[in-house]
Amino acid sequence: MHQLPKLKWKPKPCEKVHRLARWLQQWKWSQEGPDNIGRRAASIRHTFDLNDPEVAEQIAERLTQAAKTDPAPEAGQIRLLSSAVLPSADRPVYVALLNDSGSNTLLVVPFGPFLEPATTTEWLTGRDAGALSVLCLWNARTLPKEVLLRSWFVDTLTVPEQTDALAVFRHAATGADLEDRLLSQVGCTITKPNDPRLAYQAQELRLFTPAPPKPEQSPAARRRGNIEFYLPWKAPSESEEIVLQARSRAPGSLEYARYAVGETPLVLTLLTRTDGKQVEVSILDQRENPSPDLDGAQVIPREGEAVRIANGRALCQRDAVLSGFGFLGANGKPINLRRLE
Amino acid sequence: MNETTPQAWNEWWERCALAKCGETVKTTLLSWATPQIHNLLRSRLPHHELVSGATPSQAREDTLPRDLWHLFESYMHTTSGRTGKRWKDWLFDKASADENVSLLVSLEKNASCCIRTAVNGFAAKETQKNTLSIETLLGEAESLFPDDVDTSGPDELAAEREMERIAVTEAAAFHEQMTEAERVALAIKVMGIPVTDPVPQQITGWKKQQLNAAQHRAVRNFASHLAAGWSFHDPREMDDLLRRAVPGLARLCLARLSPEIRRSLGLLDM
Repeated sequence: MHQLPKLKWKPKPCEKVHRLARWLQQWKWSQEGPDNIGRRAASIRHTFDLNDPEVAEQIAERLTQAAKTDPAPEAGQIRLLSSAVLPSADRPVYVALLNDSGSNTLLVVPFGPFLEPATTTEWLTGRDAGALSVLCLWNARTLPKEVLLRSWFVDTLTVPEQTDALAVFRHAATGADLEDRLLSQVGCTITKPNDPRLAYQAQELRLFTPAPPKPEQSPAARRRGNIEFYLPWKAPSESEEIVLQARSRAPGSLEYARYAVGETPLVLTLLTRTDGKQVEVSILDQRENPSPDLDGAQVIPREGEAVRIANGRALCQRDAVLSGFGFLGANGKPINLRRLE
Repeated sequence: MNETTPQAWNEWWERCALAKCGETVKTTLLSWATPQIHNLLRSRLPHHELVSGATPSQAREDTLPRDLWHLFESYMHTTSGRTGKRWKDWLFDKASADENVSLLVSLEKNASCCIRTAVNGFAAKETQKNTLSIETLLGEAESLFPDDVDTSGPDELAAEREMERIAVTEAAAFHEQMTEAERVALAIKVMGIPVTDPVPQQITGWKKQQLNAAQHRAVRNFASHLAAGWSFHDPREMDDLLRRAVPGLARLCLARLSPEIRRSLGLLDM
């Protein structure tokens, strides 16, 4: 047997090796199961734990208020995606919005779970907050602004941050070279098939796949938090212009609608009173009599205070429900309504 | 395991920080969270001041739960302003959207996930300050970088050239042992012709699975041939020889195809 010549090997880049070692440690930690104590306790109490409707009501109200005060999604923002967009995420997923082309879409880039960039397509932002440390440009995608309405505003990116992020995005998308300064702020290339970063990328790719809006959500039924909003007088296929038309219409004309309530035989009706200011909500049984079965449930006007059903009835302000209303059971969970013609 | 209540979580959310909550809520949430945070932190950073020490003093025992909770909350906040606490909105939004379990169970489950995120992140920040705890991972990290040959000196350059010469010689020798069909199988790989293409299937008489298997078999046999003929100082040397020799063999297969086969594959005669 012959002897191969003895080769000399170039030393590995020390700083990058350390960075990758730290990344590996964070990856291994993340793969250890979630806390067993919490999970075990949760499973034990699962069967007899009841929701408190008052707390559920407060939560719904606070979430609604939070959404109301937020600025609309636009380039240069950092936002936190709602679980309605990423239902499988077990951590809050923050995104950077880039590249406002003037159309209805934005380039949406998730921040990663770790404090070190995994590859040359992940950029160390230099921000102190752990959740905003690394921007994963390889996992960017274009999303309609409509989807991003289901997110919360968190912060803004500085102009240099946006410039650098776009440079790393170009590198990820086209292989364009990175300047030396940015090279020191990214990870290193994956060259081996057994690299755990491949499993990490597959995991993050699965996680960052926004759920499509449910069919009943668009365009008229809207979701805010977990509440489904229904437009009271018009078919769900019509747009919000209808609301404006309704606003300008003289009150007092017949405004009446019927909805099937979830899987129950009950019917919810809406009727504008003759004063034109209030809407009467009724829960009717199969004989069209008021039913107390849903007493404690709440009508959630899109623009006003929640009103509880009592003795099968509730009164809401007409203006408050014109742009939509939701319906929560006494346990605080949303109840689906189906418009009956 | 200590139990929490939706009211306790809600008060914590409403008042922005545990320090602003009533004593009952503080006790409830701290009793629930402290063991989780403590256990996780101990497994990540066993020597950290928050978890080390066999018998903490009474004063330490009093402040430890609050310190651990502070670790959790302060890591999760993204900015110092109100919008930096939006993760709490996420927590409640997610919990109230979960249709499979009650609000409380969902809150606890997702808060546990946030605790894990925070402790892992906190431990990672501590690790950045001190390289000791990643020493065991440096070898694994190094192995994920490509092995590049240093040719900066005359001896190193000569060794590299000798390796290249061996690769060419071995490729030529192995090529002689291959059947025509095996050569076609490797040649189409170089050309980017898929095994599903009918032309190479017709030339070799093999179906796509057989062509695919032949490509893999040729590379494996060549690697065995090299391993049988050469010893090395460092396993990376054998890897380097393979990296040089296998593409060389494939190119040789392509270059030495018969004129008829070249025409069939759409290659111009030289």
